[in-house]
Amino acid sequence: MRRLTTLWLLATASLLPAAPALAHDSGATPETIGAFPALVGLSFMIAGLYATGWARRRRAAGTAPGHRTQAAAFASGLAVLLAALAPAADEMADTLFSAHMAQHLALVLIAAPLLAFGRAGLLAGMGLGRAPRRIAGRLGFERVRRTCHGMPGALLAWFAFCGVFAFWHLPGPYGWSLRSFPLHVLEHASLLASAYAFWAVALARPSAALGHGARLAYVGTAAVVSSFPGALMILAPRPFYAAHAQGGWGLTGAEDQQLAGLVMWIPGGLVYLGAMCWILLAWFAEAERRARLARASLPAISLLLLLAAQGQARAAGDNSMPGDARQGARLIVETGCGACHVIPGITGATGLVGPPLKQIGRRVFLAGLLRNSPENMVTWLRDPQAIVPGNAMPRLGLSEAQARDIAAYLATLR
Amino acid sequence: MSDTVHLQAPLPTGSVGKLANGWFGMIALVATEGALFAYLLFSYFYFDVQYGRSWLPDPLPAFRLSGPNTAILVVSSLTMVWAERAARRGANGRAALGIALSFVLGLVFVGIQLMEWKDKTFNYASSSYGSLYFLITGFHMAHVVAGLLVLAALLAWTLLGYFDARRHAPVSIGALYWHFVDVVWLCVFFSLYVTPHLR
Amino acid sequence: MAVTGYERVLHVEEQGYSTEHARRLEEMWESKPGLRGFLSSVDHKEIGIRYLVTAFGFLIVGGVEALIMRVQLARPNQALLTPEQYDQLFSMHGITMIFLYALPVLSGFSNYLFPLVLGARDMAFPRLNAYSYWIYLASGIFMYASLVMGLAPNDGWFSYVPYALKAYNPGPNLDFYALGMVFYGISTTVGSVNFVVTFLRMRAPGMSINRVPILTWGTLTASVGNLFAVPSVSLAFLMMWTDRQFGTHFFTQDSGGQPLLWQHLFWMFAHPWVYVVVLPAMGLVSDALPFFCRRPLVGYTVVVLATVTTMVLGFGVWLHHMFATGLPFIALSFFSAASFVITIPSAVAVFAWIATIWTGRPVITTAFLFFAGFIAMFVVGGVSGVMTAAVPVDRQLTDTYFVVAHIHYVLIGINLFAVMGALYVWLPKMTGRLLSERLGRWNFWTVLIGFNLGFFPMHILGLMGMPRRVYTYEADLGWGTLNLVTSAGSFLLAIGILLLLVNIAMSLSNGVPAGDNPWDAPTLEWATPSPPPPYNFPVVPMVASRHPLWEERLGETEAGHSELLRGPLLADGKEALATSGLDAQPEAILKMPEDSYAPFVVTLAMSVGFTGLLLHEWWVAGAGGLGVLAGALVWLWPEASLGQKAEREA
Repeated sequence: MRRLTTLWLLATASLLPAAPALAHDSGATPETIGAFPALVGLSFMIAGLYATGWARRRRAAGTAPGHRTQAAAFASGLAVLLAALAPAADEMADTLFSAHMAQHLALVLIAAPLLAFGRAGLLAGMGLGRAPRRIAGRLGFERVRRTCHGMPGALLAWFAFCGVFAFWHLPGPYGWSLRSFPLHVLEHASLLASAYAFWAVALARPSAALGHGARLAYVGTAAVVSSFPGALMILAPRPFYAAHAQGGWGLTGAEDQQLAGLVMWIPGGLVYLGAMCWILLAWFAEAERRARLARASLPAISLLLLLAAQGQARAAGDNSMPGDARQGARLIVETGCGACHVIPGITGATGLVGPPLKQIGRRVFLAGLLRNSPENMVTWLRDPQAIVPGNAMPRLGLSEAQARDIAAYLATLR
Repeated sequence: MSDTVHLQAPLPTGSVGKLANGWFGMIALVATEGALFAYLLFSYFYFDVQYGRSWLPDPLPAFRLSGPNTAILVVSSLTMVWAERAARRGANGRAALGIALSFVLGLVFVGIQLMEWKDKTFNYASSSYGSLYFLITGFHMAHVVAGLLVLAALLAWTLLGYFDARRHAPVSIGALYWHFVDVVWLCVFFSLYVTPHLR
Repeated sequence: MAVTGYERVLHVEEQGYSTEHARRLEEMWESKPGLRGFLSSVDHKEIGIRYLVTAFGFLIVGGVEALIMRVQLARPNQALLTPEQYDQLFSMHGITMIFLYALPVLSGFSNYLFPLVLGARDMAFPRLNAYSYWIYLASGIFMYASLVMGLAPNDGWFSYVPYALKAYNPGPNLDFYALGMVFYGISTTVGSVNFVVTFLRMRAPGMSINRVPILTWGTLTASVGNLFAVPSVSLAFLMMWTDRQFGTHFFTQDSGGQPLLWQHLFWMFAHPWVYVVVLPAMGLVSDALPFFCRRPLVGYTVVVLATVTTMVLGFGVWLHHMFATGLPFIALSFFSAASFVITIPSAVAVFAWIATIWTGRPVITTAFLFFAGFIAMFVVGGVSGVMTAAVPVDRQLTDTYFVVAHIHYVLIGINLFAVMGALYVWLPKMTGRLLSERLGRWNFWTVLIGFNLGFFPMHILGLMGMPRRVYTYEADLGWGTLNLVTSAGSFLLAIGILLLLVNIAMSLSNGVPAGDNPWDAPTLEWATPSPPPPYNFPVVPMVASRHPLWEERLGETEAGHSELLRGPLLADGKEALATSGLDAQPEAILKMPEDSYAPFVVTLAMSVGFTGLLLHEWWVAGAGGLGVLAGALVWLWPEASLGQKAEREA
């Protein structure tokens, strides 16, 4: 697999010198001539990293049903990105404002959600290997990530997405981006990045911090707020973007602008609606799955219920069959949990693939859905794929006793 | 017995932080108030795109007072974050100090905003711009005043020793409202003061 | 009473409705007798019934207004009403039916049913619930005060400017409406907050998101819609009021005002509102139709999906009410297309109901007949809606009787038919007595025939060019016969509604006792006695399927069995269980408030405030405002018995 990746990167790199030829007829300035080929090259490199990361995950955790869909989404997202920024599309976007708007929408409403659904960030990151991620960790990147996790991060992504999109469609900043090539690149990059952050929250896995209902509101409100400039364009009687005031393709400037607003409001709105339907269905599927899961882990839970029913419930954390925490610590080192997790008290446990296990003894839920009881921790450690199919944590082949020891150690992290 | 229900753990009783219904109620209130400001700003930009530059006053709204005032409101939000953290730890003294600081900063904001209003060459009846300017900033001002009343109540309750590390839901809920007032101001400020320079 | 502690383990026991435990609960949850209880009760069942009674009161008043207008229009050149009186009547008729009847009647059902179908002891905010009702009543009285003085709003329910501005409408008529709507908006908003939080927090343990009854989905969706839509209309009316009273220039034709902005803000609210007043009704039908088809609803998931998508789409298409206002041509075609898209979720719901009937074993009761009529009328109203969504057709038909016919097929068809059916289903739960089925048949057929006779000809009148909102017409236009038929039909419809009231009165005096579950229905409210005791459930029920009372016969036991009489007791004072949003796992024990006068007092203060604004008596308005603040402070003051204060060592 590694050989394949290397080959891929080499092939990509060899394409780069040939690239300017692809852009010879775009009528671009010397500054922009290499832009698209460079973008193509960059995309291929990211695709290579993604493929490597994808393969690494498969080696570690096996293939889950969703993995192929993720890869397909990533590939289509990249394809849409390239098509939207291709010289021909760019040329049309220079004349028609509505075409330019369609280009931006393709980036933020098609490419970005597909890339986010494909988990491009996580898998390309895994493709980089451990060293760069460790460096990122040293630079405090991990702390930023953790701070942004959950509600604050979601709010930040929401405001970034709506704000960046609105900002670049104010007449002033829009004009600057047309006049300066670096600003134009910045415009597209910031549109894509903020949209990626937004959709990463909206389409996240069920264990993420924002619940399904909250995510419906998150997407629904963004649908209206981010389309706000569109509504204004529909209702504007005169063009306010100087570069497109003349119109083209048989449309007057005002009509072109109204069309842009309509493309944003209606087809754009349908994308948001589709995303909301998807989240709603995921919500139901998740509820189904949990009901099945509860049934599957029935023996343990009914015992507890029985105890509760007889009024003999014990304080949480009390455990009738405790493992040996010291033995657990040794097993954690042997099993190599530290490759993926930050685990206090375990030397070298600095992995950034999975969540850090600091204070895991205090958490309410495991994997976002199991109550954090010692029994459930053992169940989870023994077969994580049975509980959340397709998650990144592999089956470790632990025995019941071993899992109980590890759970005992983890329970001490409070 | 329903097999899917977990009953073994002790449950928090009464009004506890983000498990209090009031927390959810405040989120819903913030959503509807946010929508109110969205409609206000929609109206503003609706006029803007109908008439263009000629609709805006000459000179454009200045940053001399509004800039520092924005900073003051942001700082008052930060002091409130600090106060809420203290309340969560049961440190009533620090919580009261933080709430008091936010309150004072909020009062300063109101004072400066009144000066800003006094300096205007137009009034609410002189043109649709004037009407909308005073309606939007007036609505925000009303929210600041409501927020100040909330902060005053929270300060009193904290000083009366009503809260501890487990019971402080009103502080969290009030803080959420105050942050909302702050974020809305940033949107209003960006729309009324910054966008005229970005056309 | 002090709180027992910061946390405790739930005590699980088996308890019925006639045990010592139930008697203690009854004592805790009961309202005081007499006027004191009436003014302070926070019981959701009490409030729900008040909503229903008040809304029906407004329905009757609005209906009488309609009948007077129909007498005026029955023949050409009648002079029963002056033009000014006619204007006031059709405006008040619209305001009454759309605001004071259509939503509140559904809020009545939702208030009564939410805790019962969700297995809770009360709503999330019981005092806010009482407040929402009092404000609704006060704002209704506020708006109706104008009619009593002969100064009612006279510009239609959408109150277009510039006619609604001071220059053309100098009296206080529209000030009543403008301030009344801002007032009324408070009721809708706090009511919506309550429904949303109750849905997310108060479900019985195990009632995961895919097991809740559809009626709660309908109300949830409508409430979320309200939270985002109502600010628009409150703002618009406030702007109109300042334009009228303080010389601002939002909607004026001079000084840079924009009359069209009024229409934008109004329809940004009013289009979603159409769905707000039908989605909960559709939810009632989706839940109750299966009772009589003896099978679960076909396509639970797609019906929920249809409910949510309808609401979301409703926010995107407000411009289709403004096709005739000179909007850009390209915009018209896009908005027309988007309006067609809305038919998809509506059709999905209709086919789900038809499939439920088709594959079930229908028991033809009066309620079933009303639901079947509802489906048929929904289709007629839907089709005329599709017609007006087409721009060229709309250009021809806008402001004619065709639109009047459309709105009545939608509102009466989807709201009133569903409500009347729902009354036959749930009134026995509320009163403990069944309604007469024999009178019910008469009731249904009179309503169905009267309604179609009254409103179908309006389509044709519209096609013949009769404009809406005219107080009379000339004989030679040829509209006389159809108008006579319409008037006759409307009286027949009124008789039908009268039959319902007679049926209710007879049932109250000597109806057949209903028993707990007269329809052998599957949802939790039918596990309680009729009428339910103030505490609803002796123990918190635990739910393992979508149809707790049918799960054995449906074999829906893969996740275990629901437990209705064995569960957490929660009897340490008024208590309720808060559960998580997704799968309803217990999260906290909530302390519920006692009965309180605060909601009523704050409403009184607020009424004083709004009256002050209306009369320009700023001191009165200020006093009202201070009263509101003082009331709110008392209301929100932390209480140890609600678990809001730090515990002191004993």
